[in-house]
Amino acid sequence: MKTVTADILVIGGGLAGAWAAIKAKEAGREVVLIDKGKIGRSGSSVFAAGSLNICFPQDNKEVWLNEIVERGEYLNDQEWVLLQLNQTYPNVMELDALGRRYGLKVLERGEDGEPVRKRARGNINTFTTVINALPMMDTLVLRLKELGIPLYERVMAVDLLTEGDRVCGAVGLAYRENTFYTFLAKAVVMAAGGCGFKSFFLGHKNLTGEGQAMAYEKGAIFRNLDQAMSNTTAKALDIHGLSLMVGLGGRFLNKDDKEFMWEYEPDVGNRARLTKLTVAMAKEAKAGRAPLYLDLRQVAPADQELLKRILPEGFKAFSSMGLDPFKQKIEWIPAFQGSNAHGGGIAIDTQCATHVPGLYAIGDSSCTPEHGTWSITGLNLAFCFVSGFQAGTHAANDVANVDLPDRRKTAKAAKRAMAQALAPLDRIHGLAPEEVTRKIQETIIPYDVCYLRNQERLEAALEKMVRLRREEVQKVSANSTHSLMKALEVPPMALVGEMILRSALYRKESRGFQYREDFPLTDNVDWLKWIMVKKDGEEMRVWAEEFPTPYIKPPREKYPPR
Amino acid sequence: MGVEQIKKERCKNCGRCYDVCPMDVFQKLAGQTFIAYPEDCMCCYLCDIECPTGALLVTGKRAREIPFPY
Repeated sequence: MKTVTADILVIGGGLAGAWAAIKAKEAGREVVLIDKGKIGRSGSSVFAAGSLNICFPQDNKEVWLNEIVERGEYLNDQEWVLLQLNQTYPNVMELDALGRRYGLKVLERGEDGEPVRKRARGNINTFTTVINALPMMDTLVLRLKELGIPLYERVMAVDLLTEGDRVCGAVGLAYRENTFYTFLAKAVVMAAGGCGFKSFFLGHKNLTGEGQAMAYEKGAIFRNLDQAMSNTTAKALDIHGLSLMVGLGGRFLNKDDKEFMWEYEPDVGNRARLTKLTVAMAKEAKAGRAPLYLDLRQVAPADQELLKRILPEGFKAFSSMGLDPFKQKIEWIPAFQGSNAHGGGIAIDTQCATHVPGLYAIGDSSCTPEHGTWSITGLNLAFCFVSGFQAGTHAANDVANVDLPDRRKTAKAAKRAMAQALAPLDRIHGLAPEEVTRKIQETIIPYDVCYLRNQERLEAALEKMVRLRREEVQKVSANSTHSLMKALEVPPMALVGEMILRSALYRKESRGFQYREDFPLTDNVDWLKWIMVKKDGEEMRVWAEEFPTPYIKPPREKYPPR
Repeated sequence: MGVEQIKKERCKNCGRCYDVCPMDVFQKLAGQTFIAYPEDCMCCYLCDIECPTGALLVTGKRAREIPFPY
């Protein structure tokens, strides 16, 4: 096993992780960045289809704060919202300028040279700026290399290391080198995304929650996993870019060709928030009005060209299936993505510190506190910039008086982690990873567990998930390094699945992505709380916490979800 | 379904598809790149975008079925 040391270890090289590594290095620390894939081409950021929320200096921050909090159904960490409104612009402009220096176009600009701004999904008074994802990632990679940050690619983190109660590194499976690495550091930034359950939507099938799972095992507290999220996609293929599509005139139709979203979100109709869209689609299906469609036939020619330019692979995919979304309506479904994107995760403060000493969480690994339930588009991509900046700079500061861990003491724990990771190789007649993954998916994806919830169905799903964790997950086997990697993805999926179901059961109201048939109202009297989850011995503890609302006072009433 | 074929007459074995794939679908042996785990493909098209000769045949059809919500 090879050992690598640094002041700060960043796990995950998407936008958030790369930016955190850059900022920590610029603050004078030695940084190491590891990624399960190729840095710059792995994770959700690569597939960030154009939508970035930037509050410009000339925008009215109060109006934006109001919209984000009210539309986030008051569940937001309001300090985080304000931080993000202040910090996104300088961080994005810095990356954009770096891109220009490297000859790359990060922000899409109009003929006047100004960034292109649109009203996309969810925007009422706010705007969405258009960003090019691959140039954004290429700029980050060039900057990482310019700063001389060591990059360890194709390394799947399998466990965190601790010294006492402080996180001090991680063990990783270098699956193309057929070896393990021990990374020792004074602080660790978890930026490995969430758990998408290998479910629908583009680009996240390697994001299976192992970062969140290893943080859970070390005592991290999680928040708002009941708000496990969904986007939407074509039934026949995984497509992204929906926010831009609806912003440019896309419409949702039911089987009667009715634009049903005007019933559910009269303010914005087809540009409905994801929370309302996915629950509405489930309700339409339940009422017998599926199949549902996305209709792009009314998108103007110039905007068709913009979409094709921002989403080239999406249109190749459509074309490969004989589909032309500008000439025919396309059957569309909700796409469950769990704790990925903004679906809840590791609880953090405004410096991105978790409850575990030495551990920071950023991007989709964290509880994405800025969104509340889900408010406007592009907010999460902006959060990746700001959380990367916050964690990078604060971790750099915080390790000033921290020593590297004792090598000999951590070597034992590292050996144990490696032995545990290799266990699936010994289960010669075990279960294939894809077989157990399918069972996990069948437990959590059905619309009457995922969107239209009640106690009975949630409890039944939870019972199945607990049993899967106890039985089938323990039998997952592997017979190669590649299949070992797939095998190691399964336990985190079952763990995060159980956390989501317990959180959904605990919240006895309807808010955001959660519609409870047995508690159909939003209850700001008893349930304006965050749902928290933590490991407690062999058990999983769930509780609810009140939280501060310093700037926007929520109405203390009960009402049908707004 | 996903990445289906490497067209031999176009492939120069540059290995860029192997280098970029987030799902570790490709492997290399004796200087040749091949599709080793097609069922793990997530149809992201990154290999196709990266390929300098257009040697890859990729479709959007999911390589593995996922249970639908309804």
